Amino acid sequence: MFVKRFFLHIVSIVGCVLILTFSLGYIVNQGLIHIQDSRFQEWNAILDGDINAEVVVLGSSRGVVSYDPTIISNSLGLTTHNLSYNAGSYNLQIDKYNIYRNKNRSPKIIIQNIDLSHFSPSTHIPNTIDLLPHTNMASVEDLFNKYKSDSKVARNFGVVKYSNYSRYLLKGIYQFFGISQKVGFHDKGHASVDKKYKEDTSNLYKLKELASTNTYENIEKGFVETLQFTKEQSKNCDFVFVSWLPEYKDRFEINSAYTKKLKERIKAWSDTNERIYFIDLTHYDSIMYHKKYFYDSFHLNKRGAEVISKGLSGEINKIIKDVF
Amino acid sequence: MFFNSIEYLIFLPVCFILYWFVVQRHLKLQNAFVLVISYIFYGWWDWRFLSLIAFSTVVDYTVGIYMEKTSSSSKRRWLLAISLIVNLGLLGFFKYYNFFVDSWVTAFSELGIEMHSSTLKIILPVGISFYTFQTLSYTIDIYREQLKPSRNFINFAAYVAFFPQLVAGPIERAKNLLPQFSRKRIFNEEQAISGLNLIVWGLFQKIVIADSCAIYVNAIFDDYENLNTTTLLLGAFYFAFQIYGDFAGYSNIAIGTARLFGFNLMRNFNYPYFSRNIAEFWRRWHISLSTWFRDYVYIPLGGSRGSRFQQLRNVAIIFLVSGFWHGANWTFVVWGGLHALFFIPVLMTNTNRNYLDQAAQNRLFPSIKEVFQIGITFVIVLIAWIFFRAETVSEAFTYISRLFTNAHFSIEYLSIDRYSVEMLLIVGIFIIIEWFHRKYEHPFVGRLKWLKIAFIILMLLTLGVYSDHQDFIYFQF
Repeated sequence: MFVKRFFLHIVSIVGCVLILTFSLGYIVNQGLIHIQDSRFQEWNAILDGDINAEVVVLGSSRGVVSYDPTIISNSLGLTTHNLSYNAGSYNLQIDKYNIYRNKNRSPKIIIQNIDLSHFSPSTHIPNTIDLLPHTNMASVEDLFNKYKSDSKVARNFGVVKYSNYSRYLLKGIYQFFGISQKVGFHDKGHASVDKKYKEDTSNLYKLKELASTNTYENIEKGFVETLQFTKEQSKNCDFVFVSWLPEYKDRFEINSAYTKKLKERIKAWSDTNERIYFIDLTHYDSIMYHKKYFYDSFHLNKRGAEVISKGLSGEINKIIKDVF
Repeated sequence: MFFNSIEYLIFLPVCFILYWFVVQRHLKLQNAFVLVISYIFYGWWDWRFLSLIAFSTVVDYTVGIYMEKTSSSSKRRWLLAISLIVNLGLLGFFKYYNFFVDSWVTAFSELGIEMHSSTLKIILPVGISFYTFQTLSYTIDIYREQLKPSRNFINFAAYVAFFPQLVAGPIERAKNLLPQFSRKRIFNEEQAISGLNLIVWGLFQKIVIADSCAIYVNAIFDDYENLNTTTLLLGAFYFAFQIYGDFAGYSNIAIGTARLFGFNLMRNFNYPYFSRNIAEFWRRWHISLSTWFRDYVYIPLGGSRGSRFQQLRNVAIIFLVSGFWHGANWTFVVWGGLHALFFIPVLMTNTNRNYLDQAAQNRLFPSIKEVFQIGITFVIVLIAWIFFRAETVSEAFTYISRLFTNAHFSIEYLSIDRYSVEMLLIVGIFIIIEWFHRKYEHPFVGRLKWLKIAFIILMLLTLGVYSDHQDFIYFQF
């Protein structure tokens, strides 16, 4: 009853789908992870255990743009990697660090960046594209399963996972065939932003709304979990530095009363924990009063990152000078 | 169960294999199997609403039989009335009850009379607008003595619930589909291959064109008050292709699926955006619905016969009813009204039966006149689509007014991963593919058909929307 041609038609369509999706998927994966100084390459190094830094920085987007590993490394004389998770709160930062630790040695020093937004947990994975070349890794798959993300089938069906990212798809193909591509510069996890200040009006407005309603319940849980994590890590390394970076004055003033209380609690807590130090850089060098160090009210630009990385290294050096 | 879901990807081959390998020996078994899988398909969404389909089926089956038995015209009229009341009653209650209550309350409050709204939390059963119209055509055709009633309940129930077209059409006439349940289906290779090709093409229309456009459309319509002219134009343009890709895609998958099971369904779309006037557009857009309204509303009203006033009245009625059929919202009524306004000049100049052929018939490219005609038709359809997409009539008017008052012409960043330029390119490719294959029902023809299939599959894999999976728009109607 069934004729050969119909069967061949189905097999050809299914075969066409499978061959195209998995061969293209492989090409794009390989292309992306070979783009020099990219986030894809950084994740590849983390997953392959190629980093093994002596100093590791944890943080969110503020961490990514503010801590220059080259400056810190030169100052401390220790290899440094910035492991911050762009747009990721404390829970994602912890998960990234745990993935890092699967294959990399425990660092001697952890610099944990914190701020008010750090404590509101992430519910989904931001910048999903960064992880897409690595969906074959169990730890990455676990991360996807833990947070809201694309469907598992689409993620594991070859090139389909890139269907919303046509720019990266093309870049991956070009790179695979030897045409060098760029996707934003990352130096040991740090991305410096060489931009002038532009006020993030809507963010400031939202922040004012939040401050006026005094709704900070969400923060307490994150605060406690961050301290717990920090304490646990202090058992495996020599020092943990909890660092609070400057914000531009317009933003700082909105929540200053609440953040002051938080900082006092962190200070009191760190004083009771050996090997944990709180470094409050909020007022460092009066940076907070100068737009030239920021590209928006919350993030330091390249110039600000250089100043703060040197400043932080100096503070750390004062503490660790007798150890290393 | 959605055609673009994983469940359907499993459901379809399993049913196909069982259908052709297990139950193919007996017609009764084939039909019973179609009925069972159709109810599973529908019940996957909400099994409780199967009772509505079953109820409608029993009523119309019984009405059909009694109508044939009696020769009394008054009894036949009463029986037809029962069918109309039951089907339109179900539709009216589930789809329009809250709309009428809200509209009455609003109307009275405008007059200064405060009334308390008592709307109900009613879930709109998926596909109710489609299967009620399908069963209505059955009883009306029997009433008109154009069709013999079915004497086999399983056959009739399978016809009403036939899963490929149950929830969003094509709205099949009993005259076409019901007799197919009386003939044993024998596997036809050509039919099955064309079915598969239609499914692939329909998936492309839905997943690549409609769902990609939907991301932009949602972003633009959600923030239309802050966007410039170019972006708002793009929003309307993308919506035109979203709704076309969505609905034509669904129809093609439905027709393709039916062919895999040995059934032929009517064509529902015939390259409507290449129409040269609005009458041609309506011969090519949602054909099963427009011909339904033509046969069961327009012609009984007198059609294009009678005085000019009667003709205009009939056109207005058919388009307003068609608009209202789409949803319980004034936006759809205005959309229908606009199409009536567009249609009237065509009717007055007796050009409504022009252009029964394809644009650029036997030519590769259209003439300048045809380009102009197609462009004008597309633009007026586009204006009407803004009302169709908007949440309220006033929102649609604001959207249109901002097209003229916020005349900045630059492409705005919409925080969407895919660039607007890429999206335009995708739609452009789609238009080119459709233009060069407008004589066929899908593009997989000719010596290069395998190259075309591979290209479309490549587009599906690399440009399809899988993470922001969208429901079919017409499910809500």
